[in-house]
Amino acid sequence: VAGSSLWENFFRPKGDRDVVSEHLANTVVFRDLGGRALRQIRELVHIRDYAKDDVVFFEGQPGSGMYTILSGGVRIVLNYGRDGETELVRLGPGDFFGELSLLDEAPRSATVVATGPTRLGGFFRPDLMDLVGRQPRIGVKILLNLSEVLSERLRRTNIELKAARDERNALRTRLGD
Amino acid sequence: LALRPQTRLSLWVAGLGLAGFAVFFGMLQIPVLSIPLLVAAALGYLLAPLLDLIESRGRSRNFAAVSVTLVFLAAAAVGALYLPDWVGDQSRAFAANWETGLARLHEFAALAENQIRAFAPFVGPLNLESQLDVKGSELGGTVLRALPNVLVQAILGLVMLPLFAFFLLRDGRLAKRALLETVPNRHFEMTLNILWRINEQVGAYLRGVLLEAGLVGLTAFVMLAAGAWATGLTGVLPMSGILLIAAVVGLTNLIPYFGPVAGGLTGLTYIIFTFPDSSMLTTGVAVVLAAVAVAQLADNAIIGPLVIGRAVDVHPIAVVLLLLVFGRMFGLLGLVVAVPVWVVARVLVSETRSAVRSYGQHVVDRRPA
Repeated sequence: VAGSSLWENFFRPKGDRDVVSEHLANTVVFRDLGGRALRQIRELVHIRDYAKDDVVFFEGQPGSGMYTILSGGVRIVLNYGRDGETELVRLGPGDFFGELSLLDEAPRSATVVATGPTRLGGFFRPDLMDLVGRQPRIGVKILLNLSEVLSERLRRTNIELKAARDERNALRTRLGD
Repeated sequence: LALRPQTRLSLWVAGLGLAGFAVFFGMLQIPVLSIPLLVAAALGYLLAPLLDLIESRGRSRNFAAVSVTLVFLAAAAVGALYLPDWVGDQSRAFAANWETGLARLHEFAALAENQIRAFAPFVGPLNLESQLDVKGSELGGTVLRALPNVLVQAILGLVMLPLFAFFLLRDGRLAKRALLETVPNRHFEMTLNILWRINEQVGAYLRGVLLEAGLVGLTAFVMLAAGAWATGLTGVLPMSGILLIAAVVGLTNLIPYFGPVAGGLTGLTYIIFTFPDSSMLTTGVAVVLAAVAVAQLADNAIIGPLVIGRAVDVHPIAVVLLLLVFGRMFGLLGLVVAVPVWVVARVLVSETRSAVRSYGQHVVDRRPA
Protein backbone atom coordinates (compact mmCIF):
# COMPACT_ATOMS: atom_id res chain seq x y z
CA VAL A 1 0.00 0.00 0.00
CA ALA A 2 1.49 3.27 -1.06
CA GLY A 3 2.12 5.48 1.97
CA SER A 4 0.48 3.36 4.63
CA SER A 5 2.02 2.20 7.88
CA LEU A 6 1.20 1.94 11.55
CA TRP A 7 3.08 5.19 12.09
CA GLU A 8 1.12 7.07 9.45
CA ASN A 9 -2.18 5.76 10.77
CA PHE A 10 -1.58 7.24 14.20
CA PHE A 11 -0.05 10.47 12.94
CA ARG A 12 -2.06 11.08 9.80
CA PRO A 13 -2.47 14.84 9.31
CA LYS A 14 -5.76 16.27 10.62
CA GLY A 15 -6.48 17.79 7.18
CA ASP A 16 -7.20 14.31 5.86
CA ARG A 17 -9.97 13.91 8.39
CA ASP A 18 -11.69 17.10 7.21
CA VAL A 19 -11.65 15.83 3.61
CA VAL A 20 -13.13 12.51 4.73
CA SER A 21 -15.84 14.24 6.79
CA GLU A 22 -16.74 16.51 3.87
CA HIS A 23 -17.07 13.58 1.49
CA LEU A 24 -19.03 11.53 4.00
CA ALA A 25 -21.49 14.37 4.56
CA ASN A 26 -22.15 14.48 0.80
CA THR A 27 -22.68 10.72 0.52
CA VAL A 28 -26.35 9.70 0.41
CA VAL A 29 -25.74 6.82 2.87
CA PHE A 30 -24.60 9.28 5.55
CA ARG A 31 -27.09 12.05 4.65
CA ASP A 32 -28.73 14.01 7.50
CA LEU A 33 -26.34 12.73 10.13
CA GLY A 34 -25.13 15.28 12.65
CA GLY A 35 -21.53 16.43 13.09
CA ARG A 36 -20.96 14.11 16.04
CA ALA A 37 -22.27 11.08 14.16
CA LEU A 38 -20.13 11.93 11.14
CA ARG A 39 -17.07 12.22 13.37
CA GLN A 40 -17.79 8.75 14.74
CA ILE A 41 -18.20 7.31 11.24
CA ARG A 42 -15.01 9.05 10.09
CA GLU A 43 -13.13 7.09 12.75
CA LEU A 44 -14.43 3.87 11.19
CA VAL A 45 -13.49 4.75 7.62
CA HIS A 46 -10.39 3.02 6.23
CA ILE A 47 -8.30 5.26 4.00
CA ARG A 48 -6.73 3.27 1.14
CA ASP A 49 -4.33 4.51 -1.54
CA TYR A 50 -4.22 2.94 -5.00
CA ALA A 51 -1.85 3.34 -7.94
CA LYS A 52 -3.05 3.48 -11.56
CA ASP A 53 -4.63 0.15 -12.68
CA ASP A 54 -4.76 -1.22 -9.12
CA VAL A 55 -7.91 -3.28 -8.63
CA VAL A 56 -10.11 -2.23 -5.68
CA PHE A 57 -12.15 -5.44 -5.90
CA PHE A 58 -12.95 -8.06 -8.50
CA GLU A 59 -16.31 -8.95 -10.01
CA GLY A 60 -17.72 -12.00 -8.20
CA GLN A 61 -15.83 -11.49 -4.93
CA PRO A 62 -17.98 -11.30 -1.78
CA GLY A 63 -19.00 -7.70 -1.09
CA SER A 64 -17.79 -6.23 2.19
CA GLY A 65 -18.71 -2.58 2.03
CA MET A 66 -18.69 0.72 0.18
CA TYR A 67 -16.04 3.17 -0.94
CA THR A 68 -16.18 6.92 -1.38
CA ILE A 69 -13.64 8.54 -3.68
CA LEU A 70 -11.56 11.14 -1.82
CA SER A 71 -9.22 11.92 -4.72
CA GLY A 72 -8.40 10.45 -8.12
CA GLY A 73 -10.90 8.21 -9.88
CA VAL A 74 -11.99 4.70 -10.72
CA ARG A 75 -13.57 2.89 -13.63
CA ILE A 76 -16.19 0.19 -13.19
CA VAL A 77 -15.62 -2.71 -15.54
CA LEU A 78 -17.50 -5.88 -16.51
CA ASN A 79 -15.49 -8.99 -17.48
CA TYR A 80 -12.24 -7.32 -16.48
CA GLY A 81 -9.22 -8.91 -18.17
CA ARG A 82 -11.45 -11.32 -20.08
CA ASP A 83 -13.18 -11.42 -23.44
CA GLY A 84 -15.98 -8.92 -23.64
CA GLU A 85 -14.44 -6.47 -21.18
CA THR A 86 -16.79 -3.50 -20.93
CA GLU A 87 -16.27 -0.25 -19.06
CA LEU A 88 -19.59 0.79 -17.51
CA VAL A 89 -18.73 4.13 -15.97
CA ARG A 90 -15.94 6.31 -14.60
CA LEU A 91 -16.30 7.89 -11.17
CA GLY A 92 -14.46 10.82 -9.63
CA PRO A 93 -13.97 12.60 -6.29
CA GLY A 94 -17.16 12.69 -4.18
CA ASP A 95 -18.68 9.66 -5.94
CA PHE A 96 -19.24 6.42 -4.10
CA PHE A 97 -19.79 2.78 -5.02
CA GLY A 98 -20.49 -0.65 -3.46
CA GLU A 99 -22.95 0.72 -0.89
CA LEU A 100 -25.33 -2.25 -1.17
CA SER A 101 -22.56 -4.53 0.09
CA LEU A 102 -23.14 -2.95 3.47
CA LEU A 103 -26.31 -5.03 3.63
CA ASP A 104 -25.24 -8.44 2.40
CA GLU A 105 -22.31 -10.43 1.11
CA ALA A 106 -23.71 -10.72 -2.40
CA PRO A 107 -20.94 -11.01 -5.02
CA ARG A 108 -19.60 -7.76 -6.46
CA SER A 109 -21.35 -7.09 -9.78
CA ALA A 110 -18.31 -5.54 -11.48
CA THR A 111 -14.59 -4.98 -11.09
CA VAL A 112 -13.39 -1.55 -9.93
CA VAL A 113 -10.01 -0.30 -11.17
CA ALA A 114 -8.15 2.91 -10.24
CA THR A 115 -7.66 5.24 -13.22
CA GLY A 116 -4.69 6.99 -11.63
CA PRO A 117 -3.30 7.62 -8.15
CA THR A 118 -6.49 7.37 -6.09
CA ARG A 119 -7.42 7.71 -2.44
CA LEU A 120 -10.57 5.93 -1.27
CA GLY A 121 -12.41 5.91 2.03
CA GLY A 122 -13.85 2.46 2.73
CA PHE A 123 -16.74 1.83 5.11
CA PHE A 124 -17.39 -1.85 5.72
CA ARG A 125 -20.15 -4.09 7.01
CA PRO A 126 -18.25 -5.30 10.12
CA ASP A 127 -17.86 -1.66 11.18
CA LEU A 128 -21.52 -0.94 10.41
CA MET A 129 -22.56 -3.96 12.53
CA ASP A 130 -20.34 -2.72 15.32
CA LEU A 131 -21.83 0.77 15.02
CA VAL A 132 -25.41 -0.57 15.09
CA GLY A 133 -24.56 -2.32 18.38
CA ARG A 134 -22.82 0.66 19.97
CA GLN A 135 -24.76 3.56 18.48
CA PRO A 136 -28.16 2.21 17.41
CA ARG A 137 -29.53 5.65 16.49
CA ILE A 138 -26.72 6.33 14.01
CA GLY A 139 -26.87 2.75 12.75
CA VAL A 140 -30.62 2.92 12.14
CA LYS A 141 -30.23 6.24 10.32
CA ILE A 142 -27.62 4.72 7.98
CA LEU A 143 -29.78 1.64 7.38
CA LEU A 144 -32.77 3.91 6.61
CA ASN A 145 -30.66 5.87 4.12
CA LEU A 146 -29.58 2.59 2.54
CA SER A 147 -33.23 1.53 2.34
CA GLU A 148 -34.00 4.77 0.53
CA VAL A 149 -31.24 4.06 -1.96
CA LEU A 150 -32.63 0.56 -2.46
CA SER A 151 -36.24 1.71 -2.88
CA GLU A 152 -35.17 4.46 -5.29
CA ARG A 153 -33.29 1.88 -7.38
CA LEU A 154 -36.24 -0.50 -7.28
CA ARG A 155 -38.53 2.31 -8.42
CA ARG A 156 -36.19 3.17 -11.29
CA THR A 157 -35.86 -0.49 -12.24
CA ASN A 158 -39.64 -0.83 -12.27
CA ILE A 159 -39.95 2.23 -14.52
CA GLU A 160 -37.25 0.88 -16.86
CA LEU A 161 -38.86 -2.57 -16.83
CA LYS A 162 -42.24 -1.04 -17.66
CA ALA A 163 -40.68 1.00 -20.46
CA ALA A 164 -38.98 -2.13 -21.82
CA ARG A 165 -42.26 -4.07 -21.67
CA ASP A 166 -44.12 -1.23 -23.41
CA GLU A 167 -41.42 -1.17 -26.07
CA ARG A 168 -41.63 -4.94 -26.51
CA ASN A 169 -45.41 -4.80 -26.76
CA ALA A 170 -45.19 -1.94 -29.26
CA LEU A 171 -42.71 -3.96 -31.33
CA ARG A 172 -44.95 -7.04 -31.17
CA THR A 173 -47.93 -4.98 -32.29
CA ARG A 174 -45.87 -3.44 -35.09
CA LEU A 175 -44.56 -6.86 -36.19
CA GLY A 176 -48.10 -8.28 -35.94
CA ASP A 177 -49.39 -5.54 -38.19
CA LEU B 1 7.53 -18.12 -9.78
CA ALA B 2 3.93 -17.89 -11.06
CA LEU B 3 1.47 -18.84 -8.33
CA ARG B 4 -2.29 -19.18 -8.62
CA PRO B 5 -4.20 -16.31 -6.93
CA GLN B 6 -5.68 -18.79 -4.41
CA THR B 7 -2.19 -20.03 -3.51
CA ARG B 8 -0.94 -16.47 -3.10
CA LEU B 9 -3.90 -15.62 -0.86
CA SER B 10 -3.39 -18.78 1.20
CA LEU B 11 0.32 -18.02 1.61
CA TRP B 12 -0.46 -14.45 2.65
CA VAL B 13 -2.95 -15.45 5.33
CA ALA B 14 -0.81 -18.39 6.49
CA GLY B 15 2.17 -16.01 6.80
CA LEU B 16 0.03 -13.53 8.73
CA GLY B 17 -1.28 -16.28 11.01
CA LEU B 18 2.19 -17.73 11.61
CA ALA B 19 3.58 -14.26 12.38
CA GLY B 20 0.72 -13.74 14.86
CA PHE B 21 1.33 -17.07 16.56
CA ALA B 22 5.12 -16.47 16.62
CA VAL B 23 4.56 -13.14 18.42
CA PHE B 24 2.11 -14.85 20.79
CA PHE B 25 4.47 -17.72 21.64
CA GLY B 26 7.36 -15.27 22.01
CA MET B 27 5.26 -13.31 24.48
CA LEU B 28 4.49 -16.45 26.48
CA GLN B 29 8.22 -16.70 27.18
CA ILE B 30 7.96 -13.44 29.15
CA PRO B 31 5.29 -14.23 31.77
CA VAL B 32 5.68 -10.88 33.54
CA LEU B 33 4.38 -9.25 30.36
CA SER B 34 2.21 -11.96 28.86
CA ILE B 35 0.12 -12.84 31.94
CA PRO B 36 -1.25 -9.30 32.55
CA LEU B 37 -1.66 -8.83 28.80
CA LEU B 38 -3.59 -12.09 28.44
CA VAL B 39 -5.75 -11.32 31.47
CA ALA B 40 -6.35 -7.80 30.11
CA ALA B 41 -7.29 -9.24 26.70
CA ALA B 42 -9.68 -11.71 28.37
CA LEU B 43 -11.20 -8.85 30.39
CA GLY B 44 -11.42 -6.82 27.17
CA TYR B 45 -13.44 -9.57 25.47
CA LEU B 46 -15.54 -10.10 28.59
CA LEU B 47 -16.32 -6.42 29.11
CA ALA B 48 -16.70 -5.37 25.46
CA PRO B 49 -20.51 -5.80 25.55
CA LEU B 50 -20.68 -3.65 28.71
CA LEU B 51 -18.68 -0.87 27.04
CA ASP B 52 -20.88 -1.10 23.95
CA LEU B 53 -23.92 -0.76 26.20
CA ILE B 54 -22.49 2.36 27.88
CA GLU B 55 -21.65 3.80 24.45
CA SER B 56 -25.16 3.04 23.17
CA ARG B 57 -26.45 5.32 25.98
CA GLY B 58 -24.68 8.21 24.30
CA ARG B 59 -21.38 8.16 26.25
CA SER B 60 -17.98 8.18 24.60
CA ARG B 61 -15.69 5.14 24.43
CA ASN B 62 -13.23 7.05 26.58
CA PHE B 63 -15.87 7.60 29.29
CA ALA B 64 -16.92 3.93 29.13
CA ALA B 65 -13.31 2.67 29.41
CA VAL B 66 -12.48 5.06 32.25
CA SER B 67 -15.67 4.18 34.19
CA VAL B 68 -15.19 0.41 33.86
CA THR B 69 -11.50 0.66 34.82
CA LEU B 70 -12.34 2.84 37.82
CA VAL B 71 -15.01 0.38 39.01
CA PHE B 72 -12.42 -2.41 38.77
CA LEU B 73 -9.80 -0.37 40.59
CA ALA B 74 -12.31 0.45 43.33
CA ALA B 75 -13.21 -3.23 43.67
CA ALA B 76 -9.50 -4.10 43.79
CA ALA B 77 -8.93 -1.41 46.46
CA VAL B 78 -11.77 -2.80 48.60
CA GLY B 79 -10.33 -6.30 48.08
CA ALA B 80 -6.87 -5.06 49.07
CA LEU B 81 -8.33 -3.69 52.35
CA TYR B 82 -9.69 -7.09 53.35
CA LEU B 83 -6.98 -9.25 51.76
CA PRO B 84 -4.35 -9.00 54.56
CA ASP B 85 -6.89 -10.10 57.21
CA TRP B 86 -8.16 -12.88 55.02
CA VAL B 87 -4.65 -14.15 54.18
CA GLY B 88 -3.79 -13.90 57.87
CA ASP B 89 -6.83 -15.97 58.88
CA GLN B 90 -6.10 -18.66 56.32
CA SER B 91 -2.38 -18.77 57.19
CA ARG B 92 -3.17 -19.08 60.92
CA ALA B 93 -5.65 -21.89 60.22
CA PHE B 94 -3.00 -23.72 58.17
CA ALA B 95 -0.19 -23.07 60.68
CA ALA B 96 -2.30 -24.19 63.66
CA ASN B 97 -3.06 -27.54 62.05
CA TRP B 98 0.13 -28.07 60.04
CA GLU B 99 1.43 -31.02 62.04
CA THR B 100 -2.03 -32.60 62.19
CA GLY B 101 -2.41 -32.16 58.45
CA LEU B 102 0.93 -33.82 57.75
CA ALA B 103 0.05 -36.69 60.10
CA ARG B 104 -3.27 -37.11 58.27
CA LEU B 105 -1.49 -37.26 54.93
CA HIS B 106 0.90 -39.91 56.31
CA GLU B 107 -2.04 -41.86 57.65
CA PHE B 108 -3.73 -41.65 54.26
CA ALA B 109 -0.53 -42.75 52.44
CA ALA B 110 -0.11 -45.76 54.76
CA LEU B 111 -3.79 -46.70 54.32
CA ALA B 112 -3.52 -46.38 50.53
CA GLU B 113 -0.38 -48.54 50.43
CA ASN B 114 -2.01 -51.24 52.57
CA GLN B 115 -5.09 -51.26 50.36
CA ILE B 116 -3.03 -51.48 47.18
CA ARG B 117 -0.94 -54.36 48.54
CA ALA B 118 -4.05 -56.14 49.77
CA PHE B 119 -5.60 -55.99 46.31
CA ALA B 120 -2.35 -56.59 44.40
CA PRO B 121 0.11 -58.54 46.57
CA PHE B 122 2.53 -58.94 43.64
CA VAL B 123 3.27 -55.18 43.81
CA GLY B 124 6.47 -54.50 45.74
CA PRO B 125 6.80 -51.94 48.54
CA LEU B 126 5.72 -48.53 47.28
CA ASN B 127 7.01 -46.56 50.28
CA LEU B 128 4.26 -43.99 49.79
CA GLU B 129 4.95 -42.37 53.17
CA SER B 130 8.65 -41.74 52.49
CA GLN B 131 7.80 -40.71 48.91
CA LEU B 132 5.36 -38.22 50.42
CA ASP B 133 8.13 -36.76 52.60
CA VAL B 134 10.61 -36.54 49.71
CA LYS B 135 8.10 -35.03 47.27
CA GLY B 136 6.74 -32.73 49.97
CA SER B 137 10.15 -31.29 50.82
CA GLU B 138 10.99 -30.99 47.08
CA LEU B 139 7.75 -29.10 46.48
CA GLY B 140 8.36 -26.93 49.54
CA GLY B 141 11.87 -26.10 48.30
CA THR B 142 10.60 -25.27 44.81
CA VAL B 143 7.85 -23.05 46.20
CA LEU B 144 10.27 -21.23 48.53
CA ARG B 145 12.81 -20.69 45.73
CA ALA B 146 10.14 -19.45 43.29
CA LEU B 147 8.26 -17.33 45.84
CA PRO B 148 10.30 -14.07 45.61
CA ASN B 149 10.23 -14.15 41.81
CA VAL B 150 6.51 -14.93 41.75
CA LEU B 151 5.78 -12.12 44.23
CA VAL B 152 7.71 -9.56 42.14
CA GLN B 153 5.94 -10.76 38.96
CA ALA B 154 2.56 -10.65 40.72
CA ILE B 155 3.12 -7.07 41.93
CA LEU B 156 4.34 -5.93 38.48
CA GLY B 157 1.41 -7.76 36.89
CA LEU B 158 -1.09 -6.11 39.21
CA VAL B 159 0.34 -2.69 38.32
CA MET B 160 0.31 -3.39 34.58
CA LEU B 161 -3.07 -5.13 34.41
CA PRO B 162 -5.30 -2.03 34.81
CA LEU B 163 -3.09 -0.09 32.37
CA PHE B 164 -3.24 -2.82 29.72
CA ALA B 165 -6.96 -3.38 30.33
CA PHE B 166 -7.75 0.34 30.04
CA PHE B 167 -5.83 0.84 26.78
CA LEU B 168 -7.15 -2.38 25.26
CA LEU B 169 -10.71 -1.37 26.11
CA ARG B 170 -10.27 2.16 24.83
CA ASP B 171 -7.95 1.69 21.85
CA GLY B 172 -8.43 -1.96 20.86
CA ARG B 173 -10.43 -0.89 17.81
CA LEU B 174 -7.78 1.68 16.84
CA ALA B 175 -5.04 -0.95 17.08
CA LYS B 176 -7.01 -3.29 14.80
CA ARG B 177 -7.44 -0.48 12.28
CA ALA B 178 -3.73 0.32 12.44
CA LEU B 179 -2.95 -3.34 11.76
CA LEU B 180 -5.33 -3.36 8.79
CA GLU B 181 -3.60 -0.26 7.37
CA THR B 182 -0.50 -2.38 6.77
CA VAL B 183 -2.40 -4.96 4.69
CA PRO B 184 -1.85 -4.64 0.91
CA ASN B 185 -4.87 -3.48 -1.11
CA ARG B 186 -5.29 -6.81 -2.92
CA HIS B 187 -5.80 -8.67 0.40
CA PHE B 188 -7.53 -5.90 2.34
CA GLU B 189 -11.24 -6.80 2.16
CA MET B 190 -10.53 -10.49 2.71
CA THR B 191 -8.30 -9.80 5.73
CA LEU B 192 -10.90 -7.41 7.16
CA ASN B 193 -13.57 -10.11 6.90
CA ILE B 194 -11.36 -12.87 8.32
CA LEU B 195 -10.34 -10.68 11.28
CA TRP B 196 -13.96 -9.76 11.96
CA ARG B 197 -15.18 -13.35 11.89
CA ILE B 198 -12.29 -14.56 14.03
CA ASN B 199 -12.89 -11.74 16.51
CA GLU B 200 -16.60 -12.58 16.73
CA GLN B 201 -16.06 -16.31 17.22
CA VAL B 202 -13.09 -16.03 19.58
CA GLY B 203 -14.87 -13.30 21.58
CA ALA B 204 -17.98 -15.46 21.97
CA TYR B 205 -15.84 -18.47 22.91
CA LEU B 206 -13.72 -16.61 25.48
CA ARG B 207 -16.76 -14.93 27.03
CA GLY B 208 -18.35 -18.38 27.20
CA VAL B 209 -15.30 -19.98 28.84
CA LEU B 210 -14.98 -17.21 31.44
CA LEU B 211 -18.71 -17.24 32.15
CA GLU B 212 -18.55 -21.04 32.47
CA ALA B 213 -15.67 -20.79 34.99
CA GLY B 214 -17.63 -18.18 36.98
CA LEU B 215 -20.81 -20.28 37.02
CA VAL B 216 -18.93 -23.45 37.99
CA GLY B 217 -17.27 -21.51 40.85
CA LEU B 218 -20.67 -20.16 41.89
CA THR B 219 -22.22 -23.66 41.84
CA ALA B 220 -19.34 -25.00 43.94
CA PHE B 221 -19.78 -22.07 46.36
CA VAL B 222 -23.52 -22.70 46.77
CA MET B 223 -23.01 -26.46 47.18
CA LEU B 224 -20.19 -26.02 49.70
CA ALA B 225 -22.18 -23.48 51.72
CA ALA B 226 -25.29 -25.70 51.65
CA GLY B 227 -23.23 -28.79 52.51
CA ALA B 228 -21.47 -27.05 55.41
CA TRP B 229 -24.81 -25.79 56.75
CA ALA B 230 -26.57 -29.15 56.37
CA THR B 231 -23.77 -31.12 58.07
CA GLY B 232 -23.09 -28.59 60.80
CA LEU B 233 -19.57 -27.79 59.55
CA THR B 234 -20.03 -24.01 59.51
CA GLY B 235 -17.83 -23.69 62.60
CA VAL B 236 -14.79 -25.38 61.00
CA LEU B 237 -15.42 -24.51 57.35
CA PRO B 238 -15.82 -20.70 57.40
CA MET B 239 -17.22 -18.63 54.55
CA SER B 240 -13.70 -17.41 53.65
CA GLY B 241 -12.58 -21.05 53.22
CA ILE B 242 -15.65 -21.86 51.12
CA LEU B 243 -14.93 -18.81 48.96
CA LEU B 244 -11.29 -19.89 48.50
CA ILE B 245 -12.19 -23.45 47.47
CA ALA B 246 -14.98 -22.25 45.13
CA ALA B 247 -12.65 -19.67 43.50
CA VAL B 248 -9.99 -22.34 42.90
CA VAL B 249 -12.61 -24.77 41.52
CA GLY B 250 -13.86 -22.02 39.15
CA LEU B 251 -10.39 -20.95 38.02
CA THR B 252 -9.03 -24.45 37.51
CA ASN B 253 -12.10 -25.19 35.41
CA LEU B 254 -10.33 -23.17 32.69
CA ILE B 255 -8.07 -26.23 32.24
CA PRO B 256 -10.08 -29.08 30.71
CA TYR B 257 -10.11 -32.50 32.43
CA PHE B 258 -7.17 -31.90 34.77
CA GLY B 259 -8.58 -28.62 36.12
CA PRO B 260 -11.52 -30.12 38.02
CA VAL B 261 -9.19 -32.74 39.56
CA ALA B 262 -6.78 -29.98 40.63
CA GLY B 263 -9.72 -27.98 42.04
CA GLY B 264 -10.99 -30.97 44.00
CA LEU B 265 -7.51 -31.77 45.34
CA THR B 266 -7.09 -28.16 46.47
CA GLY B 267 -10.38 -28.39 48.36
CA LEU B 268 -9.32 -31.66 50.00
CA THR B 269 -5.92 -30.21 50.96
CA TYR B 270 -7.71 -27.27 52.56
CA ILE B 271 -9.92 -29.61 54.60
CA ILE B 272 -7.02 -31.89 55.61
CA PHE B 273 -4.86 -28.97 56.76
CA THR B 274 -7.45 -26.74 58.45
CA PHE B 275 -9.91 -29.07 60.20
CA PRO B 276 -8.89 -29.22 63.85
CA ASP B 277 -11.15 -32.14 64.71
CA SER B 278 -10.46 -35.43 62.90
CA SER B 279 -13.96 -36.72 63.59
CA MET B 280 -15.34 -34.15 61.14
CA LEU B 281 -12.75 -34.90 58.48
CA THR B 282 -14.76 -37.53 56.62
CA THR B 283 -17.81 -35.25 56.50
CA GLY B 284 -15.65 -32.34 55.28
CA VAL B 285 -14.07 -34.48 52.54
CA ALA B 286 -17.52 -35.74 51.51
CA VAL B 287 -18.90 -32.17 51.33
CA VAL B 288 -15.98 -31.00 49.15
CA LEU B 289 -16.13 -34.03 46.85
CA ALA B 290 -19.92 -33.72 46.51
CA ALA B 291 -19.69 -29.96 45.78
CA VAL B 292 -16.99 -30.45 43.11
CA ALA B 293 -18.90 -33.39 41.60
CA VAL B 294 -22.17 -31.42 41.43
CA ALA B 295 -20.36 -28.41 39.93
CA GLN B 296 -18.82 -30.67 37.28
CA LEU B 297 -22.12 -32.38 36.58
CA ALA B 298 -23.84 -29.01 36.23
CA ASP B 299 -21.01 -27.86 33.94
CA ASN B 300 -21.17 -30.90 31.67
CA ALA B 301 -24.95 -31.14 31.57
CA ILE B 302 -26.13 -27.53 31.66
CA ILE B 303 -23.55 -24.74 31.88
CA GLY B 304 -21.10 -25.90 29.18
CA PRO B 305 -23.70 -26.73 26.50
CA LEU B 306 -25.60 -23.50 27.26
CA VAL B 307 -22.79 -20.95 27.34
CA ILE B 308 -20.27 -22.47 24.93
CA GLY B 309 -22.29 -24.89 22.83
CA ARG B 310 -20.84 -27.49 20.57
CA ALA B 311 -19.45 -25.06 17.99
CA VAL B 312 -15.97 -25.22 19.42
CA ASP B 313 -15.89 -28.83 20.55
CA VAL B 314 -12.35 -30.15 20.66
CA HIS B 315 -11.76 -33.91 20.65
CA PRO B 316 -10.69 -35.21 24.11
CA ILE B 317 -7.51 -36.78 22.69
CA ALA B 318 -6.61 -33.44 21.08
CA VAL B 319 -7.24 -31.68 24.42
CA VAL B 320 -4.95 -34.09 26.30
CA LEU B 321 -2.19 -33.76 23.68
CA LEU B 322 -2.52 -29.97 23.68
CA LEU B 323 -2.33 -29.82 27.47
CA LEU B 324 0.74 -32.08 27.53
CA VAL B 325 2.59 -30.07 24.86
CA PHE B 326 1.59 -26.59 26.12
CA GLY B 327 2.09 -27.57 29.76
CA ARG B 328 5.57 -28.88 28.96
CA MET B 329 6.45 -25.73 26.98
CA PHE B 330 4.87 -22.96 29.06
CA GLY B 331 3.94 -24.48 32.42
CA LEU B 332 0.69 -23.47 34.12
CA LEU B 333 0.13 -20.58 31.70
CA GLY B 334 0.40 -23.07 28.83
CA LEU B 335 -2.30 -25.25 30.38
CA VAL B 336 -4.70 -22.29 30.58
CA VAL B 337 -4.10 -21.01 27.03
CA ALA B 338 -3.74 -24.40 25.26
CA VAL B 339 -7.36 -24.95 24.22
CA PRO B 340 -8.18 -21.28 23.42
CA VAL B 341 -5.06 -21.08 21.21
CA TRP B 342 -6.15 -24.26 19.45
CA VAL B 343 -9.65 -22.86 18.93
CA VAL B 344 -8.22 -19.59 17.50
CA ALA B 345 -5.95 -21.57 15.15
CA ARG B 346 -8.87 -23.73 14.01
CA VAL B 347 -11.12 -20.72 13.38
CA LEU B 348 -8.26 -19.02 11.49
CA VAL B 349 -7.75 -22.05 9.25
CA SER B 350 -11.45 -22.62 8.53
CA GLU B 351 -12.18 -18.92 7.88
CA THR B 352 -9.09 -18.60 5.69
CA ARG B 353 -10.01 -21.67 3.68
CA SER B 354 -13.51 -20.35 3.03
CA ALA B 355 -12.30 -16.77 2.34
CA VAL B 356 -9.54 -17.90 -0.04
CA ARG B 357 -12.11 -20.01 -1.91
CA SER B 358 -14.60 -17.15 -2.27
CA TYR B 359 -12.13 -14.31 -2.92
CA GLY B 360 -9.32 -16.08 -4.77
CA GLN B 361 -11.36 -17.65 -7.56
CA HIS B 362 -12.38 -14.23 -8.88
CA VAL B 363 -8.93 -12.65 -9.01
CA VAL B 364 -7.88 -11.91 -12.58
CA ASP B 365 -4.12 -11.64 -13.04
CA ARG B 366 -4.09 -10.56 -16.66
CA ARG B 367 -4.44 -6.84 -17.25
CA PRO B 368 -6.34 -5.78 -20.38
CA ALA B 369 -4.23 -4.82 -23.38
